[in-house]
Amino acid sequence: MIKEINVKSLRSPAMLVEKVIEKTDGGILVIETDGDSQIKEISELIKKMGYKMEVDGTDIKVSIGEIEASKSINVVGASCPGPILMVGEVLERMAVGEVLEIIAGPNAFTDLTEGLKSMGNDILSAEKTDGGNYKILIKKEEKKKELGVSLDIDEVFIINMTGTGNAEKAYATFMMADVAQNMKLKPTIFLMFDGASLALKGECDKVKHPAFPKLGDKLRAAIKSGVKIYVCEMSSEFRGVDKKLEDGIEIAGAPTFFRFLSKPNARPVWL
Amino acid sequence: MSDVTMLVSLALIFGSMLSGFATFRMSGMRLMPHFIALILAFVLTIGTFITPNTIVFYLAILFQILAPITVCGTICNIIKTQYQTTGIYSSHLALMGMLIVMAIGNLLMYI
Repeated sequence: MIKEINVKSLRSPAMLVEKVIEKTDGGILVIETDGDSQIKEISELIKKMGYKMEVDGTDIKVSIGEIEASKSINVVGASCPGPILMVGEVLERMAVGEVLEIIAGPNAFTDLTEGLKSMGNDILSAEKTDGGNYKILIKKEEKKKELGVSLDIDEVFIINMTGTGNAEKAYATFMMADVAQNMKLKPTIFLMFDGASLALKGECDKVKHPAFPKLGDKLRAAIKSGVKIYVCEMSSEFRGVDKKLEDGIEIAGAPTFFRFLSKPNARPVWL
Repeated sequence: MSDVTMLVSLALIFGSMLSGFATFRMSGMRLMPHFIALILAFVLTIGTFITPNTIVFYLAILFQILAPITVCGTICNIIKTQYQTTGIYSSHLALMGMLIVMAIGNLLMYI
């Protein structure tokens, strides 16, 4: 259970916090404060009462006993981008305000906490378990708009320039698109120079790393899920692949490239 | 059979194997027939130093010729569509080119 209280502008916030904690059976108490002096006073009280707490900006999160999660998922053993995709799928079906418990391996810990935070969710607690894994509790939230001068980035522009000649970058192109979609970022892929080879019909089917699905399947799945893939007109003509493109891939030129590159809400990813 | 020629071929194959591992990783591990031909050429070429059997010699020559030929399918496609990355493959290609010339030369000298 998560309880939220606001102690802003109170002269002795510790008194109110103490009363609330006494009446709370278990869960997380989020205390909104107005700054350092209130945080200091409340921290001293919580330390005295023997509870675990965490300061996040001007908020204090106090853990009182165990929190009951609505759902639980174990992603131990899955490698990037598996954990964030699996968690994203479960979160999609959960209601705002519900708590999800994630058991993750040490490699996925940072990816999950950072990724889920940027999706707007609230990390309630993250602790190491005896087995060396991590238990993360997150509360599903709506994605908040960034305040101030910073812009809300909701698109990624993935540019591949190496093609299947560099299989790792070829795989990364479609995996990044997968993760972006999962994080509610709209991905657009642009294939240029050697990257144009990825657009050639059947070319991606020749690449199959033992640890991953066939590259051709990743490409077709990306197109099916709505990822727009453009191939540079000049690069595809240079390589003679312009007449034999995979279905769903469009030829584009410099104006399209620059339009995406200059979009204020999009970030480019060069591969 | 000239031992010196075969020793040079062995050196070329060994160098090709090392440079080949790099290209093998880069291209998504998709050079299986070529990979097998190169390993067999290596084993059989070593075999020619151990046994005087001419069948081993002819098999070694056969695989020394087959190894560069089996790379064509993949490398022709790379040269055609992804030539900016061919620099990475060039050391392997150079050794393959030398190997086929050595193998044919060795065969002609023996006959």
